[in-house]
Amino acid sequence: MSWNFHPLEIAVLRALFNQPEGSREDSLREEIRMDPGQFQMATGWLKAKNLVEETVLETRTEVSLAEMGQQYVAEGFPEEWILRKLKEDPSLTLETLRKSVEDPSQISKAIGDLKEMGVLSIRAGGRLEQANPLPPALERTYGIIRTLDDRKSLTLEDLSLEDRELLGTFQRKRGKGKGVLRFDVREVRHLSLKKGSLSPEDLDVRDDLLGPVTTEMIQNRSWKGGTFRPYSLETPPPRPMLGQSHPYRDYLEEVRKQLVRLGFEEMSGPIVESEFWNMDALFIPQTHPARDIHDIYFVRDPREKSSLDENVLAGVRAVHAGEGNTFGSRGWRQPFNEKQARRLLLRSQGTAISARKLASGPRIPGKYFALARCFRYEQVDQTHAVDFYQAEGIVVEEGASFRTLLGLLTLFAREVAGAREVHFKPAYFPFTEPSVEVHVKHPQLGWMELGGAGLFRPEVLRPLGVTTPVIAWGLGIDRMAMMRLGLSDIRDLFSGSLHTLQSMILSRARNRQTTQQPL
Amino acid sequence: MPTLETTLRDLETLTGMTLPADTLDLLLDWVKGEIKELDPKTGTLKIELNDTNRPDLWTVEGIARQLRGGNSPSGRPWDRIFAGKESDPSPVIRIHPSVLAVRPVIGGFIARGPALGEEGLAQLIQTQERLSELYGRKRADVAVGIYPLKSFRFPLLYEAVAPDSVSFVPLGLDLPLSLRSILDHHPKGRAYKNLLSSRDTYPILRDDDGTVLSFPPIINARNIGEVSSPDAELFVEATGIDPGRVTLVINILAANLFDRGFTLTPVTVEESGKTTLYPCLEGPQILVPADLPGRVTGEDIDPDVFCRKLLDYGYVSVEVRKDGYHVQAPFYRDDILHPVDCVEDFLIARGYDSFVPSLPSSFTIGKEASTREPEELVRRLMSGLGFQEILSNILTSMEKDTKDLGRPSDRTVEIDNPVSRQFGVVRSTLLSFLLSSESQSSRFPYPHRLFEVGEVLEKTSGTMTDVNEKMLFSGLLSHPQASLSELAGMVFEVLRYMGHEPSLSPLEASPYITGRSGSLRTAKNSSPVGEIGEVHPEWLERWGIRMPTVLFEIDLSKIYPDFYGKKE
Repeated sequence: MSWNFHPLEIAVLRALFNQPEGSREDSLREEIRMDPGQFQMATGWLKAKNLVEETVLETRTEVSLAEMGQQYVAEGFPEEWILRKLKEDPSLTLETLRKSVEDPSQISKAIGDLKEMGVLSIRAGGRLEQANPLPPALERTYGIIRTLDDRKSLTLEDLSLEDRELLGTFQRKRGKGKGVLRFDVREVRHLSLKKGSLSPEDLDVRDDLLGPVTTEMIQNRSWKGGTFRPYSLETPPPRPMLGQSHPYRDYLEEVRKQLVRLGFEEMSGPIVESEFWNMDALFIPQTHPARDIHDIYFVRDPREKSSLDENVLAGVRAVHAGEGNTFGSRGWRQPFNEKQARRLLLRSQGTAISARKLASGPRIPGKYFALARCFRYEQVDQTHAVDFYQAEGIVVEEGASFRTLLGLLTLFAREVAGAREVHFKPAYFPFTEPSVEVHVKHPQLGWMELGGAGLFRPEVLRPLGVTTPVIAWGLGIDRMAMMRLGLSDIRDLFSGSLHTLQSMILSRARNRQTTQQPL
Repeated sequence: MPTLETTLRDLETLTGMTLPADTLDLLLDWVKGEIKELDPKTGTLKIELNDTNRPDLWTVEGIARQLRGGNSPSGRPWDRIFAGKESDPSPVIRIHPSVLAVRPVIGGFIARGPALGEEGLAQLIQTQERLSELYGRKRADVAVGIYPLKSFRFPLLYEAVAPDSVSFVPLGLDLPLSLRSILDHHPKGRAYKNLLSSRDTYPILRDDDGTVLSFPPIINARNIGEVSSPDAELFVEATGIDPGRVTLVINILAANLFDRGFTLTPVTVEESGKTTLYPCLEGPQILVPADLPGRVTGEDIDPDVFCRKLLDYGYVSVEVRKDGYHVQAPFYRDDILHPVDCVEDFLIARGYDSFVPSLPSSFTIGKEASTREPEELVRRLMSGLGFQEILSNILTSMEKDTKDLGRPSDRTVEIDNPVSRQFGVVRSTLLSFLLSSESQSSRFPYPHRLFEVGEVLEKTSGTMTDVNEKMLFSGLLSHPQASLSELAGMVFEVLRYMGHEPSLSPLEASPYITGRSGSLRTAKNSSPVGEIGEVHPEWLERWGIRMPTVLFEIDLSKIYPDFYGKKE
């Protein structure tokens, strides 16, 4: 058999011939002074050709602080923090504790853990009481973690058996995604030549063969009469990095193209909105829970818009207060607080953009859409991103009706989601009546919610100066994008890891191979 | 959104129907509800209710009642709700003028019936909580109190007193406490203290013997205000600010108890000579213009069908007259603000799926926003140069946005009420995510070429702080030989393709190496349009990056001023 070895392979093989018993991977690499990446490539090829055997000598687990861990080391662990607070104020209750922090879910979890360990008991009215000190094992675990910082890591295998167990338990209990410690497992391998597979002569390179084609070679025709050294075709070529647009952007682009194709014109609006456009103009009562500080993000500075649009303010105020010209509505019959209306927030729904469009004199008939970044006050997890995209829009048309609304949604279901079966559910939105939720049957996943829609209430339209009926619709596109890109965690849509990004792109490519995919 | 926890059995008993899961899901369309959880073993059922304007539907009785088309699950007609006649003399609550400035409204009724039972009690308490917390906005607008009818006597007095002048034993404690101490020491007191902290006097409800029933909206008195499952005689009250809201809460509780087999005695509330009877059985009336159902639905609606469907949905009466439909809704609803609300009820009663969809008929021209052009050009050019686009969240942490780049924090827009510090500010630059992306990707084959284009916010200082939204375009180059010159060559070429002739001027700024960073300038702009530079190893180390890295950031709004006019 004749081999066509790459020079890197030859270097590794030569070294291995000198060591009949084989060698540790790392010392071998040092011996031949090869770049780690190249070494890995070369040994990979040789393994693939079944010429080199490897055994794992030992595993080294490097333990370092993950994001949350750095915070804990700097500021203390939540369990300790709770006990300290409790010491300062023995009348502390679960509620006050939860309210005193920015991230109550962490506190809840820590309290749950403390209860389970018997450290804490919860008395009547949620009052907390320390029953026992922290278990010494946990204290010791914290101690070990505290020896780390953003630069320093430790090797798990260097610790005593007991300490290894402690860290292992800690990590298991925290669960993988919680991000206190990072465990990086590295294997130290032993490499040896497979007996009888090769002889040193196989490495002999005929030095009369021609190497790479060079410009000189072409110019002075030195190739004449020579033979080119054949390349080994089994050797996998290097993978380049492709420059591509982001797969989620591509998805948004497809949605955009679909909507434009259906006759919709794109709108845009600011990220920082006033409560007026985000809420009041949409007839969301000022006391509605969706306007609570636990539901939207407020801007710290500047806090308020200096003024509101006087043209629409009067009408909006009237329908909220239920006084004056309310366009046939009883209104909310609540005092309208202008200061609250001026408060600045991060846009929580794309409908704010529709309201602005309606107030600025839309074309009639007109169809509009926006792909808007929106923000909602939510704990970030697999299904909730800190900000997300919403497809929103309006249809302004004389004679627009509930039936037109259903027609439009059926069209979206077919054109945007590729669904044939549609079910309309009654829904509630403060700004539309009637309101509907559209559910579609996804070919693989079964029934799912595609979006919400409705006819804007007169209390929304009339103060903005619109007398034509208006259909308002919104589609949940993040979820559709996740399905397309093979993601189960919404956070991956905004991941910075090139590995995640590549797997999204490849997953999409595979999907496209197999089926005609709907968006 | 309110979530109701009940059992399938309770709902089946109240509706008198057998409810297999798939049927139930469809039926719940009638109440805008969705099954959140149904445990086939225990029969525990959780329903999410989407209509935030119909608190009557946030209760299992209310759902059952709606599913039965407005008929009471008790099987009795609504005119049997009172034990006697409405005109019979009824027990009295007197409102003392002292309480008018504090919490002016109270309503209540007496309910007698079979013992509550565990399920009935659990649902009653859940309803009380939900109405007080959600509809009553954490008791600020409405709070409900329920008492066994045994340890006190009518008439009752609702008044406001000085914080230290009255003491009683609150629920959950053994010792009498003054009103002030209750606010300071009782868990409920502390939880709701903010509702009264600005007041000099606090409301109490007591009888003529001075027995305190409760300290609304904080806590009931022990023994007197402690309901248990064998109780068959109850006094229910609600206090609040707005008479409409208090009445609705009282009406819902009255309907629910009637549904559970109770019969009611109304209570008269007297305030400076005026009397009001609770509950109020007169439902809201509204005129639905004759052409409205047809206009909203988009088809001809037979007036008889319209009337019949509304009655099926629980409306008390619908009368067709010349000017339209005269409609009366049931007394436990107060959500009808506009005639269009009645039309929606008609649609629900007839079934959304019974309407034939029709397409919008007007011709309109579809068009992308013009602001997208520069972005798209950036994407095309950068892809051509082999740059991978990344996409980051707009919210980030102050540390990442400023400290980790060695930049001041005064221009970063902060969130007043962040969920966590990790997402406490709106990004003012795309550079930190590029660096974070690079630090996460050290095992991905080099070279790395990354870019992002997206919105950022920036505080502008002037006479008044304002927020400026900018469109930035930034990139990163990272590999063993990465240098300013390599990246600058690319960026210059990109700018040329955007119609600008670029140049560099010295820039001393973090996180760059001095002498290897510059401000990007173009012939058309007097001020820099961006920056570029090799990242100093000190900052690379901070981000955990072990590869030479170069960054640039360009303000697209300056390159294309016409596309990004100042948005309102």
